[in-house]
Amino acid sequence: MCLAPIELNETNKVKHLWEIMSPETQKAIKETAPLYNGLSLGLAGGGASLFTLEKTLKSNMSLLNGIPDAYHQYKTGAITKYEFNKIRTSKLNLYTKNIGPMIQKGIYGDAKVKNAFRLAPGRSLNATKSMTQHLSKLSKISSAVSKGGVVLAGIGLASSCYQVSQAETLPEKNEIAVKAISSTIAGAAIGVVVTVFLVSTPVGWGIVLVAGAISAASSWGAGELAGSVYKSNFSDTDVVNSLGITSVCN
Amino acid sequence: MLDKYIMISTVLFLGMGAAIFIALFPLLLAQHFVYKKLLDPTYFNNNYFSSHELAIYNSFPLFLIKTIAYIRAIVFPKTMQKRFRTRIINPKEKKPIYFIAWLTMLIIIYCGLVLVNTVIMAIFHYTYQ
Repeated sequence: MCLAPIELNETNKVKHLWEIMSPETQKAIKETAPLYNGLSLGLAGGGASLFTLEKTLKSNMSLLNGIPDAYHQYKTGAITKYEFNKIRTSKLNLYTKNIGPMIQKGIYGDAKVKNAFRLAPGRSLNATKSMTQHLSKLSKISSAVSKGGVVLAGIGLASSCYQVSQAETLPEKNEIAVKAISSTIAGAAIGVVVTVFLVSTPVGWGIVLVAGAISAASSWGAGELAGSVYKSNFSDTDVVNSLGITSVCN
Repeated sequence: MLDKYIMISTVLFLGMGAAIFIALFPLLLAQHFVYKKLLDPTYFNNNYFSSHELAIYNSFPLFLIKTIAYIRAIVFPKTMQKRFRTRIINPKEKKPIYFIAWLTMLIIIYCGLVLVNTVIMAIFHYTYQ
């Protein structure tokens, strides 16, 4: 799992944001926080899949950057129009195959990938303008996606930590900590075991998403189960203070 | 009786957590660096991985998937025939690597068994309490 450390000034920004919120908003967020808490590993998994998406887009950028270059070669006479068309078609086909139908639908909708890479009609001075615009849009998407991955990966644990510091009584704090720890352990275990099963052949995006959803749901379930077991059987154990969580999440 | 079972299951679950973070992830990381030199030159190419996998298995969290693929191929070569076709490491020549791969696989199997046990415990816990 990728749990990127949140920088200190980012934490301060979040704290400042929290302070300027109205009491109603704060209350609403507090009420929905258990949801984030339970899904912390699901969110981290979401973060991991966003990282995957970013890697996919980035690794294909060099492929796509070749198309405007090939156009300039054609303009200077180094290659013929037929060769340029061939290069463009083969690169676009490879790109379409690499990103797969799901991302394609997300970025392009029902339009074809080819449409984003057509030349401006007529004798335009800057025939590759639409291509370069589209390429910069793709690089923006990939950087946004990588930031989203970091945020998603951090938000689950950060929200649990915040809840521990906000909970009023010790049993509540203990229960939240137990839930967060167990869902983290279960999520890591499920991730490894599922990987062992799926790794024998290359898998498609659909299977990865379904597996991610199942492991997110199960890690949430494991957290709930641990909370319930803790309440009924181990409620006299003080987890928060013995592990030093109170001093970290202050 | 049920209390004792839940106690044992909890200990097993916590043991799994400790095993994952103390043993499994360090072992996977260590093996990643070994396989990077030993196996990547021969096997990390278009013949054995798809172009999409080649692109994404290069960086931090995802290269562990590649390492797990190698481990499964070393320990259970027959189940990975679709991807690697033959044995990727001869256990007689590289005994330490073979044993460490087995150790990692045993920890993963332990995790799987504990997860199954946790599901059974959940059924008992929610039914009888």
